[in-house]
Amino acid sequence: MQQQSPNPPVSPGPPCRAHLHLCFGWWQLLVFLTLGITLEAMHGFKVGWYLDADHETRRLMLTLAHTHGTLLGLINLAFSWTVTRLVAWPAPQQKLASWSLLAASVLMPLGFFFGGLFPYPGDPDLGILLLPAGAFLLLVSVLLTAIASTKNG
Amino acid sequence: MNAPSTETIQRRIPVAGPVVIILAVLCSAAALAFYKREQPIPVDAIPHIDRTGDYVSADTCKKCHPGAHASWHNTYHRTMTQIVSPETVAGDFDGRDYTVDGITYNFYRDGDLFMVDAKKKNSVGKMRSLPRFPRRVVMSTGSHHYQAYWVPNEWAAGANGQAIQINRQPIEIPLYYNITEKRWIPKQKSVIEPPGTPGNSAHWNSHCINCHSTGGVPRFDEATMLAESSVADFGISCEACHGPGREHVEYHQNALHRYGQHLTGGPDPTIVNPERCSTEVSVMICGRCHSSSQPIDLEEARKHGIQYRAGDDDLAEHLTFADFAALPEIDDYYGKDKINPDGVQTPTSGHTFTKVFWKDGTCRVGGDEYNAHIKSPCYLNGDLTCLSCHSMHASDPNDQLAAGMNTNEACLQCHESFRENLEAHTHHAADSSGSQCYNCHMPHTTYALSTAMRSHRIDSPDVQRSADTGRPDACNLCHLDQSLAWTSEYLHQWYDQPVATLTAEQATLPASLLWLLKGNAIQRAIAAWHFGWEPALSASGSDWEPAFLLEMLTDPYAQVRFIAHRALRGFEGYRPEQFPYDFWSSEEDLRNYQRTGFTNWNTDHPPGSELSDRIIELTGEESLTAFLKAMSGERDNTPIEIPE
Repeated sequence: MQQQSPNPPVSPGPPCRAHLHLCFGWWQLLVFLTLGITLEAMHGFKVGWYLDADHETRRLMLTLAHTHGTLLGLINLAFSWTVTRLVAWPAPQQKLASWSLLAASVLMPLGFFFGGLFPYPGDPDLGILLLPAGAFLLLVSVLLTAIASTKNG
Repeated sequence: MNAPSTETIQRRIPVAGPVVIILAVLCSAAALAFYKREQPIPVDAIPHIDRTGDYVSADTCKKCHPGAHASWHNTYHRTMTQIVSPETVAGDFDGRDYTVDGITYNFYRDGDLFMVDAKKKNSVGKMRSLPRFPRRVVMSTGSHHYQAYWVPNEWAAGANGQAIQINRQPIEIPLYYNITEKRWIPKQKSVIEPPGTPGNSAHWNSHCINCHSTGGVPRFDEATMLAESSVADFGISCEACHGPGREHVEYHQNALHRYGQHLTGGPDPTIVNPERCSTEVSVMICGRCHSSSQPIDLEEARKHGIQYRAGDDDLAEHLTFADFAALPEIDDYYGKDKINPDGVQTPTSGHTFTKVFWKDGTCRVGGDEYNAHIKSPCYLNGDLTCLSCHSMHASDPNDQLAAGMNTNEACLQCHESFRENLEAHTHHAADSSGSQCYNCHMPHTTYALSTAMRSHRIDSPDVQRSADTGRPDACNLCHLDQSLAWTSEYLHQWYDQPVATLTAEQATLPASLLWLLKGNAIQRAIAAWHFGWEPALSASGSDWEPAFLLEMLTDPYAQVRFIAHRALRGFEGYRPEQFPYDFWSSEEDLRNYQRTGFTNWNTDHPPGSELSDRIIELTGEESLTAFLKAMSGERDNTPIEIPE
C-alpha cells in the first residue's frame, strides 16, 4: 500500500521561486564568470584557436556567451528579489515569467557558445539558432515582470 | 581658528561653480594645443577611389574573411601602391641633395608631410626650384626592394596654349629608395639600361594602374592626354585574384545563402577561388600581371583598363604575350619610335619583347614568370600551377612560398620516385645544394630588382644550349671555377647527354669568367650575382673571386657595378669598412676605387702565393692583369635593356 506523503506537493510560492532564481543566478554567475576567466587565460597564453585573425567569429561568439551568461545570472538574482516584493503577482503569469527567464538564461548563452565553438568563415555554427528562441523568452519574461511591477505599484 | 560656517560655504559655491567650468574649458583648450590633425592627401592629386562598380575593396572582404584579410595584409602585394603617410614611407627624407640629369632633388619632412624639392641652376648659375616645387609626395610604389615616389602633376600646356590643371595623374620622381641598401639610387641606375639612357617617367594612370592597383580604370583620353582614373584599391588586393566581389557580397547578405553554402560546401559560383580553377585558368590569374605582355587593344586598355577578370579563361583575348617564336607577328606597342604616354619607351632598338628573352626563348626578366611557366614541361605535360608552390595566405611575404616549398618537397609532390634515391639522380650528396632540385632545374637566370632570380621555365642543364645561346647553365653558375667542357663531360657521363661542341675558350676557361668578363650586361650581372651566392662559393672556393669582381667595379652598366660590389663586399678585405666604394661615382672615382682594390689584392696575394697560383690556374696560365685586359677588351657591348 502506497503511503501518502504527510506534506502534499504545493505550487512553488514566492519564497520557493525566489530561492530557485537565487540559486540559479549564483550558479550561472559561477559558470559564466569561469568562462570569462578562461577566455582571459586564452588571451594570456596567446591561444591561436581563440586569438588568430581567422577566428574572429569564435572570439566574438564566446565573448558574447560570457557576457550574456553573466548578465542573465544577475537578472536571475534581480528576479529573485522582485518575486519577494511583488506579493500580488498572479501565479500563472509569475510561473510563465520565471520559466521563460530560466529557459532564456540557458538558451542565449549556449546559443552563442555553441555558435562559436566551430564557426564557419564569417558566420557562427548552427548552435546560434538557440539564440532567437532564448531572446524571445527573455522578452516575454521581462514584459510580464514589468507589467506585474506596474500593477503592484 | 574657526571652521567656515555653512552660510559661508553656500556663498562661495556660486563662485566656485563658474571657476570649475572655466578650468574644465581651459583643460580642453590645452588639449587642443596638442591635438594634431592629419593633413589628408589632396583628392585631386591621386586617382580617386571608386567602389561603386563590381569591385567592393578589401575592406568589405575583411568583414567575413578576417583571417584571409590579415594574411594578405602582410604581403607586399598590398603595399605595391600606397598613399604616402608616416606608416607607408620607407625612404630617408633626410634633407640631402641628390643630382640626376642636372636636377638636384632634396627629400625632406615637414611635420608629417613628405616633401621633395627639385632645383636647377638658372641662367646666372643660381640654384632655383623648378616651377611649383617643393611638392608634397602623395603616392608610393613598392615596399619590398625599392620604393618609388609620386608627386602631383599640377599644370601643363593645353591644346590652345593655355595652362590646364592635371588632376589625378601623379608624376614619378626619378630616384628610387633601395630599402635593403638604405639609400637613394637614380631610377636609371636601378635597372639594366645602356649607359647614358635619358631619364623617363612612367605614367601611372595609363600603365602602372593595370597591375599596381585593383579594379583600376585609367580613363585616359588620347586627345587631351588627361586621365580621370579610379581604383577600388591601391595595391593588389583580394579581387585581383578572386575576381570582382559585388555579386558575392550581395548574394551572401542573405544568411540563408551563406548557410546554404556552408552546409553544402563545394565551389561558390559567386566568387573565384584560384585553387579550384583549372590549371590553365589558375595560372592565368597570376599571369595577368606576372608576364611580359601588352594589351591587344592598347587604346581601349588606356580607356577602360584591361578587362580580363580572375577566373576567366580568355586572357589571350586581352593580352598579347611576349613569345620568342612569334616575335615578327607581334606589333611593338612600346617600340623606340612609338608615341608613348605610358613612359615605357625603350632606349634600345629592336622589338621590345626581344629584350625579354635569352636566345633560346627563355624569359630572363624577373616578375614575368608566366612566360616561363607556360613553357615548362611540368605545366605543359602536368598540372603545375603557381599555387603548387606559392601560397598567398600561408607563406613568408618574401617569396610567398608555401610551407616546405623552398625544399625538394616542391618537386617531390609529383616526382615522388626521386625521394628514395636522390643521390643516384643528382650525383651530389643528398644534403648538399647540388641535390636541391631547383638549383639545377630552376637556376637564377632571370634578372629584376638588382638581383638574379630563379627561372620559372623548369628544365635541365644543357651545355650545348648554354654555349650557343649565352643563357648560363645551372652547373657552371655553381661550379664557378669550371669550364663548359668539364660540365659537358659530367652530363654525358651521368645523363648520357651528347658531348657539347665548344670553342677553345669555352673548353678551357671557367664559364663563369667568360660570362662575367666577356658577356653582355645581363650575363655579367647574373654571373656577378653568383660570385656572391653562398652555394657557389661552397662549391668553388670562396677566396679567389674578388680578383675578378674588382674588374667589374668600372663596368659601364651601373647595375652590373652595383651587383658586383654587393658580392665583393662579402669577402674579407672588401667589407664596407675596409674598402669604401660607391657604384654611383664619377668614372675617375670608379677607376681610383678599382686601382686601390687591385693594389690591395696584389699586396695580399703576391706572385708565388697560393691564391696567386690559383688565379693563374683559372686564367689558363696567364697573369691576372693580362687576362683581365684581354677579356674586357672583348666584352660584348651590345646595348642591353631589361624591361622590368
